[in-house]
Amino acid sequence: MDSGISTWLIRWFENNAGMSGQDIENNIDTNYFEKGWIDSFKFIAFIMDIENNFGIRFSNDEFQDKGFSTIKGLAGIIRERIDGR
Amino acid sequence: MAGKKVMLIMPTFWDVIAPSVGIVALRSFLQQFGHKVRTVNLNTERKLWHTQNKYFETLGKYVSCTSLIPRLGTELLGFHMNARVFKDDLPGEYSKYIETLLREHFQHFLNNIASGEMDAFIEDLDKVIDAHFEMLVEAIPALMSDSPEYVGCTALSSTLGTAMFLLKEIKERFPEVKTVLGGPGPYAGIGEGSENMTRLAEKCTFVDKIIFGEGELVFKKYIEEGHEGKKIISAKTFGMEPLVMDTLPHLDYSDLKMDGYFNIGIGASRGCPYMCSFCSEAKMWGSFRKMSTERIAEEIKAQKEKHGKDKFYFTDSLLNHSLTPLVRLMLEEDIRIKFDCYLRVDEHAQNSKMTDLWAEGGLSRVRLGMESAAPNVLKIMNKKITPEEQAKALRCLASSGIRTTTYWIAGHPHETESDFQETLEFIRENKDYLYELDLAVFYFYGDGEIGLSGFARDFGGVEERFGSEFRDLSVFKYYRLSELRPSRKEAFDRAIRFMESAKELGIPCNPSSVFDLMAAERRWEDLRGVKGCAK
Repeated sequence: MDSGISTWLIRWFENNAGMSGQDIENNIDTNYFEKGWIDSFKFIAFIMDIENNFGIRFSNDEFQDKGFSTIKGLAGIIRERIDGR
Repeated sequence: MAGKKVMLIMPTFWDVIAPSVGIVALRSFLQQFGHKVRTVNLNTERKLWHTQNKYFETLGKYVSCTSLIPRLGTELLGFHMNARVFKDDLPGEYSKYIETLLREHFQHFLNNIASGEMDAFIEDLDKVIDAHFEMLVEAIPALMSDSPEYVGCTALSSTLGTAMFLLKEIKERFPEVKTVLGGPGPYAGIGEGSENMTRLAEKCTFVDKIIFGEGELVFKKYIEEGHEGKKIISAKTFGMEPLVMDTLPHLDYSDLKMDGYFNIGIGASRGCPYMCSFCSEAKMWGSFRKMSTERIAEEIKAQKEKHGKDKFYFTDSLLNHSLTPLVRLMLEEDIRIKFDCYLRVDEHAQNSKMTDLWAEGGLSRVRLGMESAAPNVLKIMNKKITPEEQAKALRCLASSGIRTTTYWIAGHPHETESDFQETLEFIRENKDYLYELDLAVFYFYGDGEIGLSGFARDFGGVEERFGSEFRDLSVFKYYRLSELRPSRKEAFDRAIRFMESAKELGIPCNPSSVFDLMAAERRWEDLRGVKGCAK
């Protein structure tokens, strides 16, 4: 997993989901909706923050990727998007 | 007279597009008379809400056609939860009933499931519901922390199971608390005097009163004066006149966590002035009533100032009645918002000057009941629109930048294959003007639809859907048309072909997650060349 990207994602959850960094790190492969860390409302803000921070724009097809629901999966998708930019 | 303490709950499962206007309207009304009313929307509790996803995921392990699950699964979950609440009333038939429900909902997609596998399937689904009920039990101390004297739950088809479970548990723990079920009606068309409403009253021994329809004055009378008579009461029971919308207080959302909602909810009318064959809205609310334009604008202004939010969702059946004057007034008074509403295709929606004006006034999304694009079916539905008018409206709205969420029905009575093909062709031709499609398989309630007698006459009458032996679990008596054409199987087949066609055309169809929402939004931005806001 890309450590720079995942660190940013973990930090985001720390600041926005009220979770400790350790808790988040222990669950990077867990569905964050199931954990109740964020809801649909916050997810939209989350995506906007990712796009602004990494200078990328996800395509509508990419939202169908199941990896979006975990920090590990999302880090991979962001990396691919940056590399393909 | 001392004010009463009331707790009003919106149970799971109901989308959190906006806070629940029903319980908030009731709260706002009762507070004027010194009552202390608290509202809670359980759907904003993420773990509770997630049960629905888990249930759908479990269905997806056994049902091959997953695209149908969000629509059919919502109703199924409701039926299943109702049965789970009353399982002890008929334990020997419970599994058989759930199997009947599953096979009836998913038809031939479950043909290959053997009986042993079916038992495991039901067990898996039961586990999801039981875990949900456990979470509800854990939530009771917090819900009752203010020691309310009255607890009311909104009962809609998708919330009734949770409502009944919660009220049952609350009554067991706090027998002195009065429990109330309310709302516009648990199922389309089930009215005050219907056999099904009576069954609900009989089954829910843990419920003190059932108040359906306009509830403000009835609830007030009940908590202030009590009522020893029958369990089901309504405005009609007491000879109360419908409320004048302009006299209603501003909606008080102060005890809901507003950060968790996309929009502020607002209701500017009650009832519907139209009479579509498949719907019972006009019957349910009685006379159609609306707020004055000035009063709607005043409410928007007040809510915007109070919550600092500028996105609004109108819960009205349709907003055609007030849309243009409201937009004009908001532009005149410089009230800047984005709003979302249900709309009927009318002559204004086919006029680009008008749709431009609506967009300028903040209309960002409309929800259009298209249902079909076959003239034959539209006529049977009494929609009073033509495909040409539908197409013109879509183009005008979309070109003005207004998102077009469109609702469709597969397998409406009398729909032929050729009618269905006309609908698919229409969608193909208008794909770039469609923000998203929302498809339902035709549903017959048999208890309140405006077209009920015509359907029964044309299709060999009405019969019981699941069998009377299960009624202790089903609570209600459900119906089906004896010789419906197209058949249920054909309707399912069309629904699948509809969704496949949408996928091929790249049009979002039956969105069921935030990912679908984001994908739809991204596609719309790309098509229109604008960057907008979601939902």
